[in-house]
Parts: sequence; C-alpha cells; structure tokens
Amino acid sequence: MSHRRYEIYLPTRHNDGSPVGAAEFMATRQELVAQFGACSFFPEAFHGTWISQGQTFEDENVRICVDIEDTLENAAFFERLKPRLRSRFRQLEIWIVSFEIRVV
Amino acid sequence: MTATLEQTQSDLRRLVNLVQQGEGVVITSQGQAVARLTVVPRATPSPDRQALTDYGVWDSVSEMKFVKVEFPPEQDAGAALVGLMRRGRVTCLRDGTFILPFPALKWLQENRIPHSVLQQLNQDDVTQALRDLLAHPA
Repeated sequence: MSHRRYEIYLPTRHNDGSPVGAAEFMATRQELVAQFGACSFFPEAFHGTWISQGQTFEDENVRICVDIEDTLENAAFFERLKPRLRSRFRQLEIWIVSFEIRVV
Repeated sequence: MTATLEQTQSDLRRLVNLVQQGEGVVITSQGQAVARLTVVPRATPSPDRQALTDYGVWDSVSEMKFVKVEFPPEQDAGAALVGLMRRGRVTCLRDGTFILPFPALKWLQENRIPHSVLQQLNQDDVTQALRDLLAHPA
C-alpha cells in the first residue's frame, strides 16, 4: 500500500484582516481526526501575498499535514473538504496539495 | 555626569558600568562636550521571530521531549490550538488529546489555559504513534 501526504494551507486571518476564530480550526481538526485518526498543525514562517481581481490579500498561514493511505476514497474526502474550508475560512481559494511519500 | 577625555581613557570600565546602570556620561575635551556614552539597546526580535525562536529549538534538540495533554473544555482546546500552532508543531489525535513539544507547557501556563498532562513522550514515542496510525488507518 502506498501512502500520500496531504497538506492544507489555512489562513489565520480573513481577507478583511480579522483573525480566524478557534472554532474554525477546531472544526477542521475534528473532521480530520475523525476521518484519519490524527493530523498535525505546523506554523508557516512565510507570509503570502496574492492579488485577485485587483485586490491584494496577505496571508499568514498554518499548514495542516496528514499522512494517509493513497486511496481514491481518501482523495475524494479532500475534494469534498475543500469547498467546506473555503466557506469556513471565507476564502476564495484554499491551497491543498498532496504528494506520494515512502515511509522508510 | 561629565568626564574629560583623559578621565574617560583612564577610567573607561567604571564609566561603562555607570552607563549600564542608567547614568548618562558626556565626554568633554577642552571644555566642550564632544561625545556621549550610551547603552546599546538589547536587540528584540520581531514578535513572529520571537515566537519561532521560542519554539525553534523543537527541531534542533535531539533530546526534546513531548507531552500528551488534554483540555477539559473544548473552548480551552481551541485557544491552545490557535496559540500553539503558530509557534510549533501540534499533533491532534482522535481521542481529543494533543501532542505538544515540552516547551509548549510554559506557554500554556503563561496564558493560563487549563490542561492536564497525560504522558511525557520522547521523539521515538511520537514517531511510533504516527507510524501506528499509518499502519492501522482509521
């Protein structure tokens, strides 16, 4: 069985600058641990700036990391999770990446 | 206070000590003020950098210990997660517990977030726990 790491980058502030509340992170944590048993939050030292429709947004991100089996079911879970995160964190887009990992 | 250039040269160590204690020292030459001894302010990292410094040791110290903690009220768990995830790794487990680097306990105490330490862990314990989850997925 191959494995895959999923990384979700979440903002700590909404686009209007107000801080994201603890409830949003706790809800995300709950979804991930209920599905996969564990997840890890990491600070992102880098601040991101991006421009959309003429407006500049600045992100200070947190990265959530989950190492799981590489299955279609798990991939589908993140496909379904993404729109919920967009809504929960009031973002136009949420960056989720995945890549194969090999546990040595 | 004032000191001549000659006095400064001969008594520099004492004058520096005075400056460090908050005394101002103006150096004069031929009756004119020509220089001033001042304290160099201690460099203060930016808040973000400070946060990283506080917990930056987590990855570099081989003997770093971890703790498994729980927060009885969900509200406290949320405050802890938001505060700590910006400083270092926070691993969340299904049973509602959290694995934190040992220095996080200090942050919890400083921020008066009630918590219970369930277990002290080392790096091997944490690695094994994550490997177990991978081997036996939910």
